[in-house]
Amino acid sequence: MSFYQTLATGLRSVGAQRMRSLLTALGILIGVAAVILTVGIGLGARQSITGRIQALGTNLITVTPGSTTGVGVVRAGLGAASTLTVADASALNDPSVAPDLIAVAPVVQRVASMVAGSQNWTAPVTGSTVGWMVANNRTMITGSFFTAADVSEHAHVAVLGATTAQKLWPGQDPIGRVVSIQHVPFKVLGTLNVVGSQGFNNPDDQAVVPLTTAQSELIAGGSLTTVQRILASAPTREAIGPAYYEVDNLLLQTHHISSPSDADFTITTQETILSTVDSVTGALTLLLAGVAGISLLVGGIGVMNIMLVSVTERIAEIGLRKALGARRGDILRQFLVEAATLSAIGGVLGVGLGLLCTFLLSSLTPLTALFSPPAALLGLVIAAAIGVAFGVFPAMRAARLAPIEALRSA
Amino acid sequence: MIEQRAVIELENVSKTYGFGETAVHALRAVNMTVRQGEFVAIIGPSGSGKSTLMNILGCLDIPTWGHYRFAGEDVSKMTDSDLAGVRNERIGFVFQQFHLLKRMSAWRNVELPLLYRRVRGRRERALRALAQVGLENRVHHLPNELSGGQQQRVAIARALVTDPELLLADEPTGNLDTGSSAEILGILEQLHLSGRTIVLITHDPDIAAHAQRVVSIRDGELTEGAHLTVAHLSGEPMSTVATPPRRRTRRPATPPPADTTAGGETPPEGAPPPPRPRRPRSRPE
Repeated sequence: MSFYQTLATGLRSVGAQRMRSLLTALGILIGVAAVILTVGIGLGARQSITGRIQALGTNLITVTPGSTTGVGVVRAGLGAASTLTVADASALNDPSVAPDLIAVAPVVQRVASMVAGSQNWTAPVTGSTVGWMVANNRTMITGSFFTAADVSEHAHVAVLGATTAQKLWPGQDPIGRVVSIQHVPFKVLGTLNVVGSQGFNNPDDQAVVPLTTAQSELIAGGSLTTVQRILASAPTREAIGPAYYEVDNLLLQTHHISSPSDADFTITTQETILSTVDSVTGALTLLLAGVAGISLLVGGIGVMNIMLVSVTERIAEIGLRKALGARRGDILRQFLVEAATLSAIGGVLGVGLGLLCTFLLSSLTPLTALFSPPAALLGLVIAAAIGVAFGVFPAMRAARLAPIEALRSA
Repeated sequence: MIEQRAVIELENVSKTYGFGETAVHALRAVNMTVRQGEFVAIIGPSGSGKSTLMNILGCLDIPTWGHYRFAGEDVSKMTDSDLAGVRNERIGFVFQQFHLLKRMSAWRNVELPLLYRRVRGRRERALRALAQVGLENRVHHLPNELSGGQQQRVAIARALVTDPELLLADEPTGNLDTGSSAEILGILEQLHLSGRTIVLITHDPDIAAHAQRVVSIRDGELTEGAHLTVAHLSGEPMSTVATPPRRRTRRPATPPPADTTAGGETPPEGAPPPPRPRRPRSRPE
């Protein structure tokens, strides 16, 4: 039997048994679409989380008080003790000591109520120095940031996030206006660029004021010397490593700590956060892929059942074809073509459905789903293998029967 | 009369199923010759071994012992694949159950054997074969849109489409009413007149009577029975001489003449009447 004839016979047979063909293809379709969609959701989650963290500035180094390195000794938890000082920040700001840092910003923060005319709003207020913009990878869209002079003079000036400005003066230019933060008046110098929500905090909804003003007038019982965090920024990703050690060495030195394991501060880089997030979202993707794999397996078992039944009910046909001169190979090739056709139809439709669902999910829900070609390919290959294997093996068994026995089974 | 070449030559063909104590001897050293152009009926009750004989004649099965030469070629030692080739090109089958593929139109069914060999003009050949059985107006009908007789005619067309050397019909009227049976037998007789070699297997003497020569099978042994006797046709009780005793191991007293030619006028002594009284029709389905 020629290749063309085999193909034509197989296709005719697929077309002749529409219901059975539909069911078989459906099993594969669902399996492939499920794999594509679940892997896509996992990848989407990972991408959106890492994307937002990267928007913070990947070169950011955050120093927080307290230690997470202690073993066996009772230690203050992360952030509980404020051992970081303005002097630490000033020391880090010296290029001869820490040449791999381009910006250092000591930070204090609280949530404060703001009032402007009849509008009031509650948002985090950050007190920092001029290094804050560079360290946080931010720019101004209108106006300007406060200056070093503003910081040293305890100036009552503030820079607002776009959301905050919008809430206080809807539809108006906030520059030059006065906002009362915790009953202290501040003059607005400008608004920050928009970076989008990061889920756990929104960098577009905050006010930034000079560190000194915040310490003395906004933080209750505030000290003029201690800060809650120190942000520092390396110029490049590659410089993060050296910068990390410079910060570590300097702070151990200024805090008079001899052993690094006794450190009373913790240094976190965006890299360490990213790798944590990566491993978490990787596990998430794996979990989703596992779920998809199970649905593919279930779909495969469905395909297997339909194939087994359809071959069994066609044993008489196989017998007849053999009686009329079909060789074992002819029978096998015919069923191979049929199974491959059904698998291909189901697979292609499955990829289509997977793409459609991925698109719908991304556009209609807050979830992000990405289309993953390797996942689609894997799903296709597995589904096709299941379809072909379970279509051909029973056919092979039937093809081995003596034609007369196969004929009698009708 | 010119001796026609033999299409079928069976030489001591035996078929045994199982082993030892439980072995079933379906055929016991059968000898038989069918020459080109003959119309032979093989008649026997169920369990007589006629299905086994039919399977072997049709190259659907191979003998346990003995030789089967099909048109001079020994097929008893052929591989599955070679046997498939013989079935495809040289034998046309007509089955009691028709065995048409129910989702295919008449002409697609007739085309089927041609798919298993490289041949051009399959559709034309299928249509010609359908015309030969008078179904030129039914080529696109599905089997369930045709009457039983028409379905069997499609099956005959399928058997003829390869222009085989042997037409093997296994109870071709077994599932048909009297009218359709007559129709099918008429077609077979016509094919015989046009020179086809036909072997018809049946349990019904009335059907067998349409053949030119009748061979009777019982307990796996053949008895050459030329024409049915007058006694049989008139419904007389069968002669004791005629029926070979059961469980005989020796060959019957009258070995089948290996050279029985078309139309053997004088029946050998003890032509075996059928084992059962006449019935108007073949068995119900």
